[in-house]
Amino acid sequence: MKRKGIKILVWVLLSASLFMVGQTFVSTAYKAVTQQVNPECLFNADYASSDDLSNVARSIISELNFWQQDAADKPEFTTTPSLFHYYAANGSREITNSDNMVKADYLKQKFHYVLDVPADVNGAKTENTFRNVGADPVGNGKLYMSIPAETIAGWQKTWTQNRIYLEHQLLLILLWGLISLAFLVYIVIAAGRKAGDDQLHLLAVDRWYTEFLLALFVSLCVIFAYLFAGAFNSYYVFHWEELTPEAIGFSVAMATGVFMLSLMVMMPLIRKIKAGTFISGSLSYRILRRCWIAVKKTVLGLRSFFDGSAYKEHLLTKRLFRSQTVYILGSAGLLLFCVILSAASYSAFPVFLFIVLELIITWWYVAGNKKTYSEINEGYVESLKEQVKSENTKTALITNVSHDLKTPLTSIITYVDLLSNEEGLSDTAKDYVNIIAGKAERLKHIVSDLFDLSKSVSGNIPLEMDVLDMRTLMEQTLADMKDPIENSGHTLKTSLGQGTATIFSDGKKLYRVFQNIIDNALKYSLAGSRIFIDLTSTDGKVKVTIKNTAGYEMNFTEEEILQRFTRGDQSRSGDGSGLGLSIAESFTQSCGGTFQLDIDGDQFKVTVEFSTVETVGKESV
Amino acid sequence: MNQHNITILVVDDDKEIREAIGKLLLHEGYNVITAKDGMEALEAMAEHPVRLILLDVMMPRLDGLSATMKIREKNNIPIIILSAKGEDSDKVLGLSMGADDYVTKPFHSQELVARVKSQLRRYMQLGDMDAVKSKSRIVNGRLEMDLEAKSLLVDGEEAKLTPTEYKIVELFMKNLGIVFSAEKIYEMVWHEESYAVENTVMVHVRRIREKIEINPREPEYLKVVWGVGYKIEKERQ
Repeated sequence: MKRKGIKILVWVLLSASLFMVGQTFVSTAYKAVTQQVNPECLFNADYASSDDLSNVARSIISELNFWQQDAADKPEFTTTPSLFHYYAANGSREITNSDNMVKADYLKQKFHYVLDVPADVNGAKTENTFRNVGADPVGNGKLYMSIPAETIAGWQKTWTQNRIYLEHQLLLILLWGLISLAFLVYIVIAAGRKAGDDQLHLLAVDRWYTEFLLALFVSLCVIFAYLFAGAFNSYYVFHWEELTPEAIGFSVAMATGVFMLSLMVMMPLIRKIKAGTFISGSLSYRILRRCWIAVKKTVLGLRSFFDGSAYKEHLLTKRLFRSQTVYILGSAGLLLFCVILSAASYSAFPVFLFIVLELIITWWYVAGNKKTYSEINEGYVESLKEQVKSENTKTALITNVSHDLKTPLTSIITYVDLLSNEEGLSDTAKDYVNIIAGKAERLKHIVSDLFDLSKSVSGNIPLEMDVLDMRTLMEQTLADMKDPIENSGHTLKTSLGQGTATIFSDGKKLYRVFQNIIDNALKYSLAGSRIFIDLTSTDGKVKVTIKNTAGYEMNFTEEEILQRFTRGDQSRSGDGSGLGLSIAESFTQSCGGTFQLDIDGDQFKVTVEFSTVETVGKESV
Repeated sequence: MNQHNITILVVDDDKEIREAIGKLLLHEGYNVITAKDGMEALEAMAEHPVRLILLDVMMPRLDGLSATMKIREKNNIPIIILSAKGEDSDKVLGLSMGADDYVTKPFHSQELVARVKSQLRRYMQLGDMDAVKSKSRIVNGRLEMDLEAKSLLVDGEEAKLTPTEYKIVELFMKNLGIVFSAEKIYEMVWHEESYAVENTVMVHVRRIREKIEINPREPEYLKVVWGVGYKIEKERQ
């Protein structure tokens, strides 16, 4: 059976056993009250020594005392008069239920009370065998009373019967109580738990404020108490007809229902205690915490408000802060001084003095600040100028150096071209011309790469950012590089996945990035080895990895290879500028992505990562 | 075309470059006159019947961009700007000043010559181009498509396109400046379901470029929009 099924079953059993507890308790109590079953019998098995007997005797005696004081009415006994004997006299009048008994007969009985108050005898004499019954004479005449042994024996019998009955009922209540307790303990332990794990499972209701749940719980408890007490109240207070067992059952069932409800309300509280959120999940805790935080913030705020240490390093603002403090403290002190002076002298002069002095320090304050402000502004303007100047210098430098390098290069390339078309050149001369042409071409690439890199690194590169699909871009790049890939003799293992991987970037620059990375892999891979290109798109990220096995020992670190002009083979032979990976890294970063290079033995891995964007209004057809 | 009657003005502050370009063009049979800055260029234009100008940007006295604006005030002969500045923004600036083409230094001799020829051809044909303008013709810069004859003229000369290549170019010419994905191109040209067609389309794009572009590695018209698709750029007017 599932844990949940067990739980429901336990709840049902708990309500049943609680009902039994209530039912037994109420019916027993009802019987005890209506049939005058004295619970004393539970503690005292011997009726002769019970308080009950004393009460009976006391009641008879006090009734006879009443009659002695005011003989107008006959005594009305709560105990049936046939069960005892009495004789009472009041001056001329007498009353008895045993005409043939004399004082000696009363004294013969085991339980007797004999009071003799003759008018001529000093001090009355009382003979009393009842426990806890006043032995001092209260009446003003003779009063004899005795309870015969047969009566006591009869009462003892009823007493014992009641004792057995009550014991039985109490045992029942105890038993059902224990069963209920066991169920309750199970429910409390199982609260918030599920089969199969050790986690605490909280429900939405568990997030209610503790106070609210408590209030609900308490009010349900009150209703429960009221309903439970109602089982008696209906008899005692209103003196309605005698309660039938059905009425008791109904009342107890209602009370049990309410009790179960309050238990259910208790469950979130129990889970809260288990989760440790009983206090922290309460409204007052939160309010208090907010207040505490607010107080703390205010205190800290006030402290930092008057804390000038932050300005220590800056001369101008330090000066401003100092004059501000002096101004505030000075004004406050002046005000206080003048108020006291004014109150002491009953004159308006201090007010006038205050205004004049306050004007003077305000003038000092404003004039001082004005100077500082203008100094700050000058500095700010100066630093802005510097910044713009250095920015301009940087851009101008790149542009001018670029121009200065490209102009002679243009001449070289053009003249080499003219030279190669010249007729009558020897074969050797033609070879030389070809070498110069090749090197000029390489120089052109290096210069071009160098300026792309320096522009990118200095942040002077114009970007054309747009929404594009990384997967399409990779497919296009690979299609575009089809010839160099096929000529390289390497096999490309590509796994680009499915669907769109939309990013916001500069497609042209990204093409350069991947072209450079793949170029690098083609150039420096071990002959015949495979190159792996993977594209994965997860958790809002598109990741492209290019892995290859180097064809030589990579005796450099990731940082070194990315440093400008560091070449993979370090001997700086062959073609290419050696800037490919640096450009790839810089472009990737300019375009908003991350570029990571890992060298692990002969494994060379480049990872380019971009955040994806929501596909909205893609502009392709 | 009798090239001996055509005079080209080469303007550059670098003497060697001026002379090298001059020799290149002389080889091709053009008359060449040179100037070393913008001011000299304006003077030379007043004295000679110049048909095309090659103009450097960074020059003393009067720079290339200002000279272009001055020339455009009264003359619409082709101007090709030669510049060491290679950013797209520099090209846009040069073209918007009124230049017809923009070549970055260092350039290849063959490319420069091809661009000169292209500009001259367009300039010469400008007169009758308007006459043949009709619904069945789409003209975009150096490209002119005749939808009835199913032919593509590049600088007035017919490009030898295969039927598939023609269909691709037709798709682009009818939708100038619009980007098509490889899948879309495949579906519209081959009329087949597309699957992993990037390579096929790219191969055709490259072949078309060989036939219509002066420098296929730096295409002016048929461009890849990286991460999106392909398009033919609409000529700035």
